[in-house]
Amino acid sequence: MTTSNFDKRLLIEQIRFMETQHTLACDDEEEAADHSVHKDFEERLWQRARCLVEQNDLSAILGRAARLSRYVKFLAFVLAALLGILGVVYAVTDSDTINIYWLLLLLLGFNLISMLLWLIGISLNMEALTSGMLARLSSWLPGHLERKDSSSIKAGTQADRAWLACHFSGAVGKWQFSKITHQLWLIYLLAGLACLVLLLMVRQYDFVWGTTLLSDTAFVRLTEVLGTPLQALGFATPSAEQVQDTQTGVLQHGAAQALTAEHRYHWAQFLLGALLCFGIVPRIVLWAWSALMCANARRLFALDFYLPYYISLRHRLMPLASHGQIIDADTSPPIIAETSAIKPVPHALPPGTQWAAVELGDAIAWPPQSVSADNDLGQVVDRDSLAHILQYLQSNACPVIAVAVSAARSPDRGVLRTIDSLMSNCAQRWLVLLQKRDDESVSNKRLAAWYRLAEACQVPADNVISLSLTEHE
Amino acid sequence: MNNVSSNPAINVAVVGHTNTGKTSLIRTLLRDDRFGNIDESAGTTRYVEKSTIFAGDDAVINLYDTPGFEDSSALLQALDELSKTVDARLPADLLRAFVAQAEHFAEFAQEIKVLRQSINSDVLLYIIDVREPLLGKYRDEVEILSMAGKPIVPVFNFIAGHSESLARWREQMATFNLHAALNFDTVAFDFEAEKRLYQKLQSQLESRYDELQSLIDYRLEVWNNLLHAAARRIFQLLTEVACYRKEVAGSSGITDADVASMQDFVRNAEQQVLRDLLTMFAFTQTDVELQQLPVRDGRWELDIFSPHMLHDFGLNAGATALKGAAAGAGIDLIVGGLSLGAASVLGAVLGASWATLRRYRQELIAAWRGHKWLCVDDNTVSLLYLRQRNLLHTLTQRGHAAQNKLQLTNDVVHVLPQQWDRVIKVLRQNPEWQHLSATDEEYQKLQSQVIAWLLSDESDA
Repeated sequence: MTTSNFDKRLLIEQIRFMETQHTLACDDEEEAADHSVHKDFEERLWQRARCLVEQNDLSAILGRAARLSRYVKFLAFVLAALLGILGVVYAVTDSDTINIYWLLLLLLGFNLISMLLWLIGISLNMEALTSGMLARLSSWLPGHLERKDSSSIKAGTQADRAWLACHFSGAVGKWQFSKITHQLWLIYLLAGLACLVLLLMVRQYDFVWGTTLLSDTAFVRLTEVLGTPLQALGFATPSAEQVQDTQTGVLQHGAAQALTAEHRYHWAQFLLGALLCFGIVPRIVLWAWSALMCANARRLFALDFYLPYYISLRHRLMPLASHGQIIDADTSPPIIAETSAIKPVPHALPPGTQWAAVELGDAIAWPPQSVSADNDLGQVVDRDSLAHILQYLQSNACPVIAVAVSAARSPDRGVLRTIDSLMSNCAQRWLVLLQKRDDESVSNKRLAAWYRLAEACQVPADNVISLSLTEHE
Repeated sequence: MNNVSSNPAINVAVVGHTNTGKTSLIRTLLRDDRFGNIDESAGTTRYVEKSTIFAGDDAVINLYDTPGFEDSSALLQALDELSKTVDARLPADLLRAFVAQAEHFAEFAQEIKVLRQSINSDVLLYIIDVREPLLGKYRDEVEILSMAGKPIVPVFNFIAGHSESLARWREQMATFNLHAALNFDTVAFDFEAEKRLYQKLQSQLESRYDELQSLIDYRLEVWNNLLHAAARRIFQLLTEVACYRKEVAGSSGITDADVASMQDFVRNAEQQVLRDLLTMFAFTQTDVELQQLPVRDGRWELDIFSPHMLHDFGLNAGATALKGAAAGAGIDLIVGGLSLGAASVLGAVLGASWATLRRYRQELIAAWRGHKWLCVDDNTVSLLYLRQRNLLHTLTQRGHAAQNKLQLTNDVVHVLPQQWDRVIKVLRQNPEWQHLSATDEEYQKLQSQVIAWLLSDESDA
């Protein structure tokens, strides 16, 4: 069985209302967020909702409102049918004569007024008129429900509220109310008609009519007007003489029997025809129309994705990007990143120390004043400058070397290889961490990285020294 | 869409020297704080991590985070050596041969991962930390990467306040014929920057133009929806607060408790909005700090009723304030609430007057008893509007605060829209709007009006 879009959206809304109280958890949310299965956001929401229903055992709670409404609707239908029957019985059973217009007023008059009000309401889009009592009931019901089970299931109340909000508000609500209103009147009229037909079959009635305020001719004319469409439909209607014959004043008591069977037959046909033509058929048409409009409104019923609730769910269920997934894993042994608490200190270097700098950057000018040009081997910035220095070191002895680096920069493997190659022929090795200012802060992690590099290049930790450039300038 | 989605996603490898912010860039792009690891030391990312960017359900871009280059000079040398023994027609063949012999080059394990990914990608985003000097090793990196034969888009990172070095880097990249460079600050980032990135990819990958355009369009749509949703949430707050009413026995009968409960209501309502907006924009604590939002632990630092607020937002204190009562309290004039709409009159005439009566019942009873309504004064509602509008604009300009710290804190002009008073009046006249999500036409009209104000640029207000 496929679930209609409206029912899906209803379920999603019910879950949303419930989650205003406390969020529900669902194991399969990751699955719902899977981009590989092509599903739009709403489909994902529904999948999540179904998962929540299953895992939290919510189906009973969610179905409660629908179940309740079915009971209420059934009761209302029974009541409407009873009212229809009672109306007819009340109008016709106290004597053998039926006051024809009184009965028509009873069955059709109020029906007509309610229909007119409904039409005005629908055409002017006035909520108070279209929904009437049912709307009042529905706005009162949730509050009532809440009071009833305040101790037990709060979530259930929220689900009921959502159900009511979806069914009885907005366009869906308008047509749903209309549909139910027409249904109720239809049942009222059909029950009346059935009762009337039964009574007319088993008893003999005489038809009369009377008026206090209106003129007699008005009724004759009325009967004629009402009869025209009935005649077209094949119902026999009383002629003008027959109408006049049956006025209450014209008839003498006891002379009713004088009325011919034709009179009775015509009036009965007129009565049933009028009931059908002016009561039942319009209601059926309006009911069908409302049902159609209601189905249409349900089809158009859309979730309000601008609500913060849906926006944040969209982040989760329909992410703009997938989470990272490692596709080429690291196979090399992990670096043991012990953080050294050692802080390098300034230290005088032995005379004749040869200086080389590695990738100092633009912020530090090389060589500083403290390094004489004789002892300066230069700065490594690319392969050529490195090759140049290495060539010099191969042909010239260099017992003590100091490699200067910028403490603020982070050493990479290339820097390590460079420094290692610079130091390879030197017995005494120094690593000088240059600082632009005394107070230039270098993080412990970075210092530790330099100490690790020193260790790899066989520079004793004591030979890692700092040199601040400001004090010499 | 269908012919587009049948294509495989565009593979974009994010490459660069170690520690240039490759992973940060991807995090920003994906708005995913959990992506990868970030640390200041070299070689934090030592694996290739893939993430996919979607337009709806269509995977448009596969983004690969790669380890950083650490020793490109030695790598280039090794490649030179290899070229002597391997017969490679194309530079890419040489790279393939090198990757195939990975076991002989254990020291280049990281670089080999980068090369492998570069060969298999459609375009390379070469991330540059512009604060770095122009060293030979960077030139070597570009040289190696260009051997892969893929378009390279240099992406300049950490550009804020480094315009000089940015210019030097641009020049340097131009010497490699890489002109389609992109400024992209992972700290200062917004939707426009993201769009520029996709557009740059479009210019490099002509054949995938439509897919990238659909991605740009999709992201724009999502972004606009987000803005609209946020603005609507703010309007809901204004409605809630403007419609707040509490019946009290005459103006003298207002107790401190009444005012306190009113103030709590406003605070809570504003708090909810702050929480909702932060969630909607996926703002983390880091973002809050970066943007210098006056928010601590998800709460506003400054109370809405604190005396500085009115002054800070340029509102005239005491204009509507209730004499002698605490801040934010106002008294509603009942007459204002009694203007019946045409529909209600007609409804009443036609016999449905009960509904109408019900609507004004409370007012009528209060009037009869000589009671009044304690409500939230106009200034507080205006203050909420201004503060929320400010918040919204900060949230939408993620990262800008970090870039122009001084400008944002001083130059904000708080101006109420011209017809603002009318909005408050209409809201007050419809207290029922507080509770239901109104489908009322008037509500809808007012809502779109206020949303337009909220989303308009500062200067248009």
